[in-house]
Amino acid sequence: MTKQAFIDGLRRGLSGMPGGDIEERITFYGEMIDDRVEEGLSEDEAVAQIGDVDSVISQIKSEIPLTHIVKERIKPKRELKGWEIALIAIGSPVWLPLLIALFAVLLSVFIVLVALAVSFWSVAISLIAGGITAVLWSVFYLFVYAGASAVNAVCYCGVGLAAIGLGILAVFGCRLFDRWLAAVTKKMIGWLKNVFTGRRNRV
Amino acid sequence: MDTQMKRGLLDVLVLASIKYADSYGYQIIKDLHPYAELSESTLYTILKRLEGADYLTVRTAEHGGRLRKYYHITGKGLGRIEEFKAEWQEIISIYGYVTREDCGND
Repeated sequence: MTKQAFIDGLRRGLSGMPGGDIEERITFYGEMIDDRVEEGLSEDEAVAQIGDVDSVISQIKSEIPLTHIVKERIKPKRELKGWEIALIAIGSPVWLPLLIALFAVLLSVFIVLVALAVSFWSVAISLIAGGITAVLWSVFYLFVYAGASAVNAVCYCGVGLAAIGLGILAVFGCRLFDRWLAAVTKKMIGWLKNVFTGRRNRV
Repeated sequence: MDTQMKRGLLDVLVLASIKYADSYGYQIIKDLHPYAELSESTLYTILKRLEGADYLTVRTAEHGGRLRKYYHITGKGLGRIEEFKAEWQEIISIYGYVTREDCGND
């Protein structure tokens, strides 16, 4: 890939990101390629050392905070005229609740997922705690209660051990769910970044 | 390594690379290569952060018929390196305590 193709790809992929930052980053990458060429590499080799343009773009996107992108996206590109401000103000009863609703839905989904994770952990911990109690109870029952039946004691102990076993298995499940939740959260943030940067690409 | 700690270390590492002479992006990556594998994107983010904190300044100079950005450490940047050295002494003494051998004090 030539330097120009790399730079063009970068510019396309980063359009919609915070304005002044794009050109500065592109200049930075251009300089990095030129310095490698000066050292004796061919242009293709220099670009290859920097990496694949798509992975460079996704790395840059992951390093820019979502708040910066949103701020950049909602900032007007020129000074708004009086009638435009009036229109935005008049339309606010429509777009403002919709915007709040969109964020509320996303936040609710996130809260539900976190609540699910908390519930799973509660189940796992309850199983283990209940199991331990049942095992201890079986010993207490056998030796302290007059006329305790050994069959009952073994039954309590067995149920307790089974609960502990299930609880330990549930802990593994919870850890898997937590990892999945972390990945989903990361994807959700990535998607939001694309919503805010991608929309401008189409304008 | 803890993300916050890694970020702090990389910041100081980049400052150290321009401690004695001004340098430019590719040279910094090459100088730091034995100590940390920095991608262009990561270096750019670090340089912007350091510039924003007034730890370094940037100047553009002509080189071989094109423009190149040079990074210069400020007094505040040098102060950050000194701060890091003091902080690191504390960490070394904590590390010494954590990894001490049992001398059988019983």
